[in-house]
Amino acid sequence: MDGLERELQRGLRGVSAPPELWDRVRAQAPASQVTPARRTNRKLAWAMAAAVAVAAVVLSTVNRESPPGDAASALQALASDSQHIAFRCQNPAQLRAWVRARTGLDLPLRSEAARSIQLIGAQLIGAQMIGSARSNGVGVEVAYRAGDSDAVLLVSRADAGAVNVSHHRARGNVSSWVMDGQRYTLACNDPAGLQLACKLCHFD
Amino acid sequence: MLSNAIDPLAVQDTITDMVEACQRGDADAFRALFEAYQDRVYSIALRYSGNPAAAMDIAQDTFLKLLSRIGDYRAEASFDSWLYRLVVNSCIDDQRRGRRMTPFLEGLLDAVCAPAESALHKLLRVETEQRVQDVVARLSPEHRIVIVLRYTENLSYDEIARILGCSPGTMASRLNRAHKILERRLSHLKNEGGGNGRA
Repeated sequence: MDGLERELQRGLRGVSAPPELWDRVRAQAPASQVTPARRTNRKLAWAMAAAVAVAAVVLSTVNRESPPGDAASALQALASDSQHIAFRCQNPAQLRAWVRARTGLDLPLRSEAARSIQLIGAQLIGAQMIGSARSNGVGVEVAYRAGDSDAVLLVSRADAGAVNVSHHRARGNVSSWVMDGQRYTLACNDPAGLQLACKLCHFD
Repeated sequence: MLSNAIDPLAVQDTITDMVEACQRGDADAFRALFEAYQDRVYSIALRYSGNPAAAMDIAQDTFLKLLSRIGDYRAEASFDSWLYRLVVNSCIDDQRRGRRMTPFLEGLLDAVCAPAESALHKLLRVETEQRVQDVVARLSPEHRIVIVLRYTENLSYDEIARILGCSPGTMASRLNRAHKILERRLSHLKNEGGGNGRA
């Protein structure tokens, strides 16, 4: 890809629709077509919507060949540029809420980012990207800068009954652990930056 | 290995189910379709118009058209392509109404106000993106829409041609022409080292 295409992808990347869009559509549409009947299958509809939304994200990444294992996935996410990040956000609270609403995962981000941390945003990821052996196949990729390094944190639900596992260096610049039912994999393009990258969630 | 991967065919079936339910007047199905497609519709509208207010109008118009014309949709065509065509038509309709396309300034303001980030770094990035958006906004409508579909939605040449109702050859020629215009107008970015990697 040449420089022009890269700039176009960056400058024209997709964004999230404002929440008030639905209110506007609902206000203008005939009430019978946007107001559920008394007996509704709302849960089913929402489940379908969630499945399609997640699938759209998954399908958009399906061509990215993903080697097995969280470490490989994290490295792959790190190697790609941040064009694919769907939700661009520098605010930890907003990002946390976005992730929770879409995945049910709770990211223990610091409420106010450390000075050395610069959030880029988050992207939902599918089973291929987080290890297919687990049953809860939807996770999130948080992209950010830690000092002068690029960093990526992958978070997904751990297997049922998984016990906490402290930080384990899979490779020099990748660390993974399990905590409170969630699996984390952190990758940084500079091994020396891994410690700094922890400040996304931790204080000194 | 990929036992938990989402099957594209299953996804297509789900979309088909939602569309059919929507055609039967199921309000929940319409809401589900809205949830599934709102970001894509709004992104195209925003990148085409360069104006959040216009993008809201275009996205709203698109979903209202979806609601009123869903009965016309036939499953032999891709629903995505059909919906993209509605967005494109809404973009063109909006422009015909004579809305003045304004530069997208909010990002720049955000950058200046951002307290927790390297303001200079972000300002430079936002400025580069702003220039790209400005130059794209000055393209003719037929060039702009192919660029937006290509780079906002990552659609293939064939998909874009199908949505716009032209031959792949015509589409490729438009895209090529648009690339050349953009390359000329954005040449200063290269000289200034505008493509500064991730983030």
